[in-house]
Amino acid sequence: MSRTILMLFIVLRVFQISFLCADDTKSQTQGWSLELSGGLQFFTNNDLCLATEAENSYLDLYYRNNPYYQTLDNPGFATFSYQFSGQARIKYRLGRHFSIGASLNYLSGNSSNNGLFSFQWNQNWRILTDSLDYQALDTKLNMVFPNLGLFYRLPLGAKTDMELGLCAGPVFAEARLKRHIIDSIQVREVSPVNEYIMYRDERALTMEGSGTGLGVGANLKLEFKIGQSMGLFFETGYTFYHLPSLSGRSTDSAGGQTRSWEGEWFMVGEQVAKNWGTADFFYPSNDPSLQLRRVGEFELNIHAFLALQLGIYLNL
Amino acid sequence: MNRTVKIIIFILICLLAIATLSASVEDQSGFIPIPAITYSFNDGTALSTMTFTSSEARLFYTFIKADEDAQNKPLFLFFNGGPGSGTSCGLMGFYTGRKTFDNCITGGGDRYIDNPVSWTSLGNLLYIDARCAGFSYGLLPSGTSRNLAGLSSEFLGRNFNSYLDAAEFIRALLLFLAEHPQLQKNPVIIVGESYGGVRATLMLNMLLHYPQYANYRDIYQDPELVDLIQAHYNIVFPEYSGQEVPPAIITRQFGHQVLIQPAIDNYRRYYDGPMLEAPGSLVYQIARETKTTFTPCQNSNCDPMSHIYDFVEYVAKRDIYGCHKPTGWTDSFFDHAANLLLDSEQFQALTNTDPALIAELHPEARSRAYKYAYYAPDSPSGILPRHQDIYARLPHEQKVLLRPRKKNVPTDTTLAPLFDIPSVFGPLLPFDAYYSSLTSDGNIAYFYLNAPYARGYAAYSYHPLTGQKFLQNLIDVKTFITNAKYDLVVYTDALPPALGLHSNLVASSDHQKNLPINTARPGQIEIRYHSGVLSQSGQAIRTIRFPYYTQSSHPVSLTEPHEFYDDVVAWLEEK
Repeated sequence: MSRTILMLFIVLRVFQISFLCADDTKSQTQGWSLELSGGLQFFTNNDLCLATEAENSYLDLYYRNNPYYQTLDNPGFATFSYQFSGQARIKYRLGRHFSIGASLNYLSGNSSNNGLFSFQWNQNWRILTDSLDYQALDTKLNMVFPNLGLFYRLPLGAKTDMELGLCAGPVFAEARLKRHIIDSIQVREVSPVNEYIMYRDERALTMEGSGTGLGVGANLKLEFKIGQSMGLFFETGYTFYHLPSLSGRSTDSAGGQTRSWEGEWFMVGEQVAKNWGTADFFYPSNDPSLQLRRVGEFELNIHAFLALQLGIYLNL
Repeated sequence: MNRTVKIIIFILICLLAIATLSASVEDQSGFIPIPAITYSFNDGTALSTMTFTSSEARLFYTFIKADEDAQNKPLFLFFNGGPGSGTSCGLMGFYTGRKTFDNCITGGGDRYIDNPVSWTSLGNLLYIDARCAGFSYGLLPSGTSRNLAGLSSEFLGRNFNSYLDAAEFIRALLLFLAEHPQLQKNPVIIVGESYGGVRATLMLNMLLHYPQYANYRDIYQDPELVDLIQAHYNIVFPEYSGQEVPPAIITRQFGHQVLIQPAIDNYRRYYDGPMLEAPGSLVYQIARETKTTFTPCQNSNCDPMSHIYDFVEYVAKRDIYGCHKPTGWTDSFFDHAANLLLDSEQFQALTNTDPALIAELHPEARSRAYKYAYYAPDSPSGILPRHQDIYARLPHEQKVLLRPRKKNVPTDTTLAPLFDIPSVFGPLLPFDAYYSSLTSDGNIAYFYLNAPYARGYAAYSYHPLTGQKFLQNLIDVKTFITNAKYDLVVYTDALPPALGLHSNLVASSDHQKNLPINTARPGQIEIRYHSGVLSQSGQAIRTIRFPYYTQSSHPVSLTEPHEFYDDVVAWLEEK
């Protein structure tokens, strides 16, 4: 990664020298500016959201598609699709068109689910009600992305400019998955009537992981000058973040017992066949007891689309 | 002190140590504490995991040492079936130990006799009663009320399922061995009767393939058990200390099983009904002998085996465990033994232990003890109204076990005063009892109050998975199975084709009735595995000794003790 940064620096340096020399109006166009912005990023990732998808597959195979069960409550899960981002960037204008800059981006995403799923199996002589009361099915992601960028400015009017930019840098991420379920089976015997709880367990799994990687992005900005040395801008863009691994601590409470462990995240792969269908489960874990079901590395690959970012810039 | 004197002192110390250790290998009875166990079931994905914590229990055991050279003889581990049947009133009571109850009990004379075919000539004997069966009892968790609601919450699959049961027997065995280091490395031969076939299968699978029980490769996950097994193997196989021990090595200790009329999985059901409904079968023979008429099932709603049981027991009035005998004949022995064991003299005769010296038998040690919720041991036989719907859906073996029938305890009044343990030891708290030949509450919990099974997981005792595990074990474990002619409850003629139904593992399963030659009671099952199955490079062939007992009912050790003993001796001597 350090080699990449070094290469980027050299490229920027070459651009800086070439354009400084070429521009005869540098005294007017050179200078520093500061940009502050914030907004939403929509993103997809390959591995992190699979935790929620696997949970949906589990409910599909074992309950929703199970011909024995009738679905009573099925609120569904929200997927993890956008995050908040904030950015501070300092830029140096190399000339009329080109700038270089250093940015610090902060991105935070969180998908939070809870709800009661219940399913009923009428066995004629008794009715089983399976309840999976999700207290939490949460995915949380925080990332810091310090980066260097090269920007090309194109004046559109007296007070309006458009700017294209490329940036790259290291990314530091923290992720957290939480699955907290109160799982129970209530029985109602029909004749004679008798009701009891056959099973009840409160299970809470929390997985934490952190890691470093690389991000590269491109952005398009529309600037509106509102004074001699300041203006507003709207920005959109695309950034790809790649973190080859995460590792951290996990705790699992079930059956009244708690265990904890630390380790690198990996992908678990399982296939389950029932008479009414099959399902493949892929989800991240770092539970050492699931190592035999490891089917690959956990990679946090995020394709982030900057949908709407509003900012202000100051020419210093 | 010169060198010679030092050597003499060292030798004396060694002799003293050996004598002390030897002295501790003595006949004894007592209780093995089973802790609360946290375990889980998963059904293919870890997301489906259901985690449980069982309640503590005390399992009753009796150890009878070998007649000679006990420290170098194998240990025979005996258990009966049920699930939930006592071993002390079963295999311990009849023709395995040094003393035995008579198989011609008439109600008078000696209640026990010297066993002419004592297995103590072959090795050391260890009998264990399952949770809440025999003398064993459960312990209420603190905070659980001693009332029907509290007890009902104990008789659930959480405490009563086949995997936990097998894991508890392993814990009891390993604890016993750890406390008897002279026997710890000795071969262990598992002897299970009836449902004991399931228990033996699961125990051996856990012992041979133990890592898969802590890495989500098996439906049952019990990491603590895996640690206990590894710790045991660290001592028994020090060359593998801290490493995974291969099954082929483990069989040096756990390499033999003797199964008496074993239930293994429900594939037998595809054959036993049709075989017994076929003209000329044993059922038609009974009809001829009793001058009754047997009509097979006439429609698809009729279950052949239930139909046959009803005919044999209620029309022909024969015993379904031994259909050449009158109704209730087999039960009478177990009921009788259960009562005799409540007499101090009889207890001591069989176990060579004074029951008064067993602290956990006394009421003072049983403040948390329980044995039943709905079915007290002395309650009339039959299913309570609450369980009638459950009963209708029970597997056949369980219907047979729990179906209403009259007690056959001898009415000989000379016996009554003998049952002194309850009166001498004192009354117990509600829901506790000194003895129970069968825990009906526990038995029902196995099948109908078992949460993972209710969700459709393969946690069912007779699930085909149990048969697969049996076949997996068979690769490494030398196996002997009895084939009793008159047993309709586990009709073992149906076993060979039933094993052949596991077509994913085996290419064929042949009942070779005339092999091996030159034996008094021939019979064997040849299993041919598919090439490459179960880590074998070529096509593995395994042979199960399967002798035919022409005079036997379900408890073969009771009905043909001499023949059974002779066959086991010859089988053990086979290379």
